[in-house]
Amino acid sequence: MTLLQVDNLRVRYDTPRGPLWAVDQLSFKLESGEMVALVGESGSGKSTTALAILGLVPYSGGTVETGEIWYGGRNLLALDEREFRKLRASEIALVFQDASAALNPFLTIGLQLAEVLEVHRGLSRREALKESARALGDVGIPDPESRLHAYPHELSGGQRQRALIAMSLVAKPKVLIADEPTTALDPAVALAVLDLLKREREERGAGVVLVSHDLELVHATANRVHVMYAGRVIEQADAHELFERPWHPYTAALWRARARIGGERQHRLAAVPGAPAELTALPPGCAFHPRCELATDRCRRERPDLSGLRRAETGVSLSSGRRAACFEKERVAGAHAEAFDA
Amino acid sequence: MKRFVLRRALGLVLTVWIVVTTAFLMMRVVPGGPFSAERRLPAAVLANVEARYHLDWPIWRQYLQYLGPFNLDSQGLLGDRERPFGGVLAGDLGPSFRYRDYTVNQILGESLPLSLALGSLALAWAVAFGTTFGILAAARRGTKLDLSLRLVAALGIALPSFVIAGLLVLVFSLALGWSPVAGSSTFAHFILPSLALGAPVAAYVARLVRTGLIESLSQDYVRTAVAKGLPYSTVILRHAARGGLLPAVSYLGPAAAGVLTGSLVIERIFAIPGTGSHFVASALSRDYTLALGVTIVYSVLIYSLNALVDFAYTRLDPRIALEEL
Repeated sequence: MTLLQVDNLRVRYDTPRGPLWAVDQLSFKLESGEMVALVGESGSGKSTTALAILGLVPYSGGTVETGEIWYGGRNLLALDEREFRKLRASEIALVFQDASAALNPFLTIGLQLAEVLEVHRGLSRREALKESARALGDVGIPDPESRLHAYPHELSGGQRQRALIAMSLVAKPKVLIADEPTTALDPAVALAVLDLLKREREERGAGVVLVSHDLELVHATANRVHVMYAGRVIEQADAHELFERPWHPYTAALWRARARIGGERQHRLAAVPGAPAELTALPPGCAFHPRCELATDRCRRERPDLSGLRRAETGVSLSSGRRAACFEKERVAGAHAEAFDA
Repeated sequence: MKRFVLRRALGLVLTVWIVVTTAFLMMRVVPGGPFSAERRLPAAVLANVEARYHLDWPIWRQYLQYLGPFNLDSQGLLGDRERPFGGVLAGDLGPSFRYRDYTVNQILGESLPLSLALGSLALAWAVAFGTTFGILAAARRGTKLDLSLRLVAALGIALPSFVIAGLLVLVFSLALGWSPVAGSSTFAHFILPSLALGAPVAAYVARLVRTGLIESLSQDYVRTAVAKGLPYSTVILRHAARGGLLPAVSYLGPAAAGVLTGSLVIERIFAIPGTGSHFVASALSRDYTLALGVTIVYSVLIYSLNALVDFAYTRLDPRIALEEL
């Protein structure tokens, strides 16, 4: 069952240096029980996408120019603020990246969880607090009853992140958007958090949109991946296919540049060459061409659209829905196929 | 809590002692004295008067006598054998040099309650209007409402209080006849002067609350509150207001001390015999004891109010622990 469908989303921010499109022509689908990842460098538009799904783009000073976001038979972008508000946290919830900034330092953890239930479920403060304690227990916070009265600064970093996730889950939303949920965490806590998200998917059929730049994490947990560059999806594929045989040179470069723990010792961390694209001054043609080794004259003139491979003899199986926006994707895919065969 | 109160009490005593000592010495350094007015006194008379107030003593002895709590005068305090002790530490601020038949305690005892009443009412207006308008302006930022509230606040700061007072009297007393013009006998007498006195404070508070709130509205945790689907009023009042009010609270401490001790201008216009005029008059007429008296009152107030602000901070922001202040 499709939970969420984003069609042709385009988000504009007006900056002193001119307008920029943080997200452009973005489309993706989220099935029940599935985890879809949005991957890219900072500034690629993945966090803006997360905000757009919750209707928070105007709040951050941007404008949704075009696009539709379908949830439960309704186009969210056509809803007025009152109707949208009812969906936030109760149907679609956002887990923010930095718990020490995302939790209100002036209010107790208990109140911050309970108010979600008071507003969306109409519970009394007392019932809401009881339910909140249960939610805190579910994310593995010890002695949740007493933690209700704690302020965020009285919790450890890991507990804060868990509390934030508990707050996002407390009203049992169908769609969970997790913006770098594990970046600030040590590996053990990060694993526990991922476990939690997995449980939500398996037990309740919730769908998760994972926004991340951590490719190892995405590789290990996501079902499908959308790689974003300069506001556009430049490659989309199943997670295991994507990194085994990338089609887009940017994906290949990202995969090479990842930091590996416990892997072979590298003398230097490989980086994607060049600087991320300047959104206010995108180059003509493919936005990635200044950083691309394979760039041709055509790449400098024309912008490639998402499409499948043209030839079957590359040795890459044509899976349904796999696409990349690159004129030279056959070369990239072929090179990887060769390396794979050898 | 106990430790906080104890530490602040100690701090208060120390601060007031330093203020008294400095002010005492500074008053004496300034040329002229309480009895060197336009009309020169004959030398013998002057010597007599000065001897009565111990101005002929060496300064250290005068200082000790003023500080107390004892009497260095073998003739009894000011020749009064019934009053063996004197000095600030005994709660005696001494005789006024200017109002010959009054002690400073009597003068302050009569005028200070009026100024405190007027000031408290002015503060109440300032806090009520200032925070309400500040929150409204921030919540409706960039709208016509915000613009007009900011204009009113700018006027409140720019217009001198005597102009505001004049306008208030003109409209509410003379044109509409709703309020007495001047005096201090009933509560109604205090409404207009307190509005005039509180107006600039209200304007400052409104501006501070507005900027503070706008600042805190851009915090991540406020975005979280919006993402939780809370109504806008809850986002503003519960999530943004606390952090946004902090700057206004720290401004209110010293501002309250200024307002509570009375304003020369407002008290003159509305004929309220408060403390305000003594601040100016006593210094000009070298009324040493009265000037020191009002200085002590002012420093006690400002110190206590700042302690109150610190306490309020710990109530507003759980990250600030009372024990560390």
